[in-house]
Amino acid sequence: MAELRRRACAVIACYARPEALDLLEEASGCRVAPDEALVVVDEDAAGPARARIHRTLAGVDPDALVLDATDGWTAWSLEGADARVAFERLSDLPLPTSGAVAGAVLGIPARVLVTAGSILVLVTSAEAAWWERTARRRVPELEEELR
Amino acid sequence: MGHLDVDGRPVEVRPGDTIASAMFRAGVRTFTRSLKYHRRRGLYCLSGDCPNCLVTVDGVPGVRACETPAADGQRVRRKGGWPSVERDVLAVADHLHALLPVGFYSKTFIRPRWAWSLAERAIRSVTGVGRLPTTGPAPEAVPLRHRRVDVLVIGGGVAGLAAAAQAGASGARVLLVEEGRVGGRLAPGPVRDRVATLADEARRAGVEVAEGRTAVGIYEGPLVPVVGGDETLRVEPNRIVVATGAVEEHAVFVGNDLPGVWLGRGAARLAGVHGVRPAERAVVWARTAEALEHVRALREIGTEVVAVCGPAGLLTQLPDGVEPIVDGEVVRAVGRRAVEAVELRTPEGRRRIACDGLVVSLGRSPRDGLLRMAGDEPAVGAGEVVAPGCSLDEAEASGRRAAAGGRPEATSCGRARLGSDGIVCLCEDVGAADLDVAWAEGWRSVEILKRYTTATMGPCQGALCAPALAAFVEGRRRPTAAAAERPTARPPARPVPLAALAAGVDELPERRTGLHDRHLALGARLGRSGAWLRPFRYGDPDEEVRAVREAVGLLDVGTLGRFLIAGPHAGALVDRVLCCRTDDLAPGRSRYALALDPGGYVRDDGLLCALEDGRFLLTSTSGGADAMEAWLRDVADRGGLRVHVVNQTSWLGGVLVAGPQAPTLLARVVERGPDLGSLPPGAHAEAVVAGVACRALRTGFVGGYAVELHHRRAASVALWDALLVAGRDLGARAFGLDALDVLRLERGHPYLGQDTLPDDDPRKLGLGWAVALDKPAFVGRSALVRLWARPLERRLVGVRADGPLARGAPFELDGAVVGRLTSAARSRRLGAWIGLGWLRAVDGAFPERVRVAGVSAAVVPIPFEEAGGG
Repeated sequence: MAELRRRACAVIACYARPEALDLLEEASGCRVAPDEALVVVDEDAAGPARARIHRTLAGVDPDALVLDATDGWTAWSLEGADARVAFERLSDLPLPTSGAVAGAVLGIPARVLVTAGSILVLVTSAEAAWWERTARRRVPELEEELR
Repeated sequence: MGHLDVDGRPVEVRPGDTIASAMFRAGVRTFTRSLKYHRRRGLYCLSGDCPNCLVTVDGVPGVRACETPAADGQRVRRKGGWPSVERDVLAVADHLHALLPVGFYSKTFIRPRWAWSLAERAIRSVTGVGRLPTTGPAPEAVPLRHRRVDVLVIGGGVAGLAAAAQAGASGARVLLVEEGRVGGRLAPGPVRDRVATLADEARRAGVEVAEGRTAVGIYEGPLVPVVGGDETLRVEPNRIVVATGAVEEHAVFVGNDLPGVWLGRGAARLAGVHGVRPAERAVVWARTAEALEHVRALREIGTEVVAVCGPAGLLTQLPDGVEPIVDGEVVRAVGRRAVEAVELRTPEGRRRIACDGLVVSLGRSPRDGLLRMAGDEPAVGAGEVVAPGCSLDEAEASGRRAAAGGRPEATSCGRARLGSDGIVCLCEDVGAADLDVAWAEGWRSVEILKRYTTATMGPCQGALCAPALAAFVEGRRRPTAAAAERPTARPPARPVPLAALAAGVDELPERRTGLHDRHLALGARLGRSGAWLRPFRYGDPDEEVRAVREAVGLLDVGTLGRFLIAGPHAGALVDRVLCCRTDDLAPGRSRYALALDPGGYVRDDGLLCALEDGRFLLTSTSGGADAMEAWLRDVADRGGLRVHVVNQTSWLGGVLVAGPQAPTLLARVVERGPDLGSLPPGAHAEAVVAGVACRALRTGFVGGYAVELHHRRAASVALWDALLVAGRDLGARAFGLDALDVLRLERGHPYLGQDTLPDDDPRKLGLGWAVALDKPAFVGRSALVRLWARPLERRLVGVRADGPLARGAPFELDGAVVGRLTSAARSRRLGAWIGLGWLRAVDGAFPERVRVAGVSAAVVPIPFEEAGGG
């Protein structure tokens, strides 16, 4: 089945020339535009990660911006055997095997990061309460449907 | 089994009864009164297609008695008559047709103008429909559920069940929705047996059969809302099979709406399913073979069928004792309270036959509203909805073909029979004579006639009368003209309770600021402002205004759009997007800025703040943030500018601190940074306030001293609490949008979108000062140059009046409309009503005084008051 869990994490927003962002290992999976990437890391690792990313980007693009965007995003993970099916009910976004996509989930803008174990959905903090309420209603409906 | 309470009278309920069958058995013949003329209406179709049995059940109005199972203790109230449905004084309206002509809303009570408000109230109070309860507890919220299936089958008759069984057997996930119970409308016989067999087959194939559910529309997607069963389903099927059957043709003749006139299937259903005699003596008007089955059903229940009129070929099979009247046609049903006789036109002349029931079975009209509204969605019809009158075998085959994705073989149905008079639209009380009048007045197409006469616009949504309306138009057109289409089918196809419509209303995305819980704790009345949920008031808005004017007020401005613009071309971008000077803005300074579109019209406004390192912070209106981001990126991309546009709206919180005591309050809580109390207009600075890193922007929207504190969203609560605590002795309090409306109006600041029109350039808004036309280039500049070479024809003005001003009211001058009020509020401070609105020049000059909904108002300069600072 599918389970929705709130995930505590830090979000680092990176703005730089594409060739600079190409150097970011972390950004390879969450590039939301050629010159924009979101890096999601554990809260404890945010400071060092930000510094490391800044060093990497500044070496290629002195105008690169590395910002702490944690307040702007709220993250949930969708886990379990039916996670992908559940996601399909929440969004029309084509879900990659791994990597990231940006688009509407439950009708609002989101960033979606897919890893082997889970699907991480980031929505803006302003819309987080509504999103959570709606998703928590929709996922059990789906489970009932699949049963 | 129990009793109903029908208008205070007990009515016995037997097993299998609907409310209608129980009431009819108990002798009730008039179930309701018609909308306009208060004519008696009785049972007619017994299939939920007509409005004749709408009653109020346990306080719920508009319940179809023929479709609703009866249960012990139900309180049933008939509606539409005064003092009662049986003795209705308002039935006098049926003799006053001359006063209520078709389209009378457009003809009568319109002069003098004040008469309409009285007439409207009177009309509303006497219309023959029920009333929505406006008092008492609100109904329970209807939950919304989402379903995704491979195939949705709408209709649980032979075709629908066959389609569902076939699709289910192929492994598809199938949901079948049926308005009533599967087979519940059928009398014992071959049809019911076939339905039972198919229902078993469908269930064995894993089909989910949902009874008591009504599909009310087909939307793009496809998306099908299904109501009933105490919930609303949003079904997203891959394919849809519409098997909603057909309804018997509604014939138009004089007296066709009298109680005692029946559609054949309705009469047969009452007899066969509920064991109730529809009439003691009946005449049957037949054009279909099915009519003979109706004759049999009527005779079995004990009704004396005295005559059947119809074509000769049909009448050869009549049972003994029934008089065949070859080629006879009904021209009139006669009776005062119900049918007492029918008048026939026969080849031998006119005849009158005494009876208390007239059963009409002339043909079938497809119940295809859903199918027609499906458009290009993957929906196919099956059974009678595409082939009215098809046999059981044909219906089953059609369903199985539809399940496999095959297109149906459609057959056409005959043209509806239309006499010279009689009721065409039972819901709206529109007669054939009304259509004649409308036609003579020049309303000469189905859609236009519909709008003018309101025919097909009632609860049945044209299920019965749309074919008759089309037949009327077809009959009036020249023979060479194309056949008239029926009116466009639109949801809802069936009457829907408001609560079912409201299901899922909370699924409208909403945005919250970081202070949402604090607003709730302070007892704020929250409401939607665009996508944001915002506090409108915490208590008395006048007190909140007073706090800002005399002490200090706090407003949550975390909704404002905020953009960090950085990169080597950041300056070039803001210079291009904004029409103000930007190159002279030193770090630490800010400026009011307008963004125009290429046509020179105002898109949005905000503050532009110059930061260090060539970066900028740009604010925008709360509702315009998403569009502003797209606009900034678009202009940057098209100009090949290397910039980073970072939308920080959801990252940041914002608190406006405003009022004469605001400097004192801030002095208490600023821990690091400049003295914000002496921050001049047009300045901004970084500061640590109550432990929270903020960027403080001096603003002037509400007038007086005001500073916006922008900060990390996660720190909003700490900052808000600290400001309220530190300002308690200064009279600090939160204020909401209602107070803000008064405060900004006193300063004459427009709300973009509310006070503006799409073609407002800055000069029309009195904001010409914010445009640096001496800049060589900015978006909209060349358009402004052209626009401003012309005289000003319209502008936003302030108005002041002693009487109440209502937003939206027109500005009138000598009886002519010269503008409109877009904002209004009562300013206690000014002791007057004030407002903003757009005003048109008259003979080259702007009027100095206008009338606003009867109130004289002076056109005055804005701001209405000089509150200082800002």
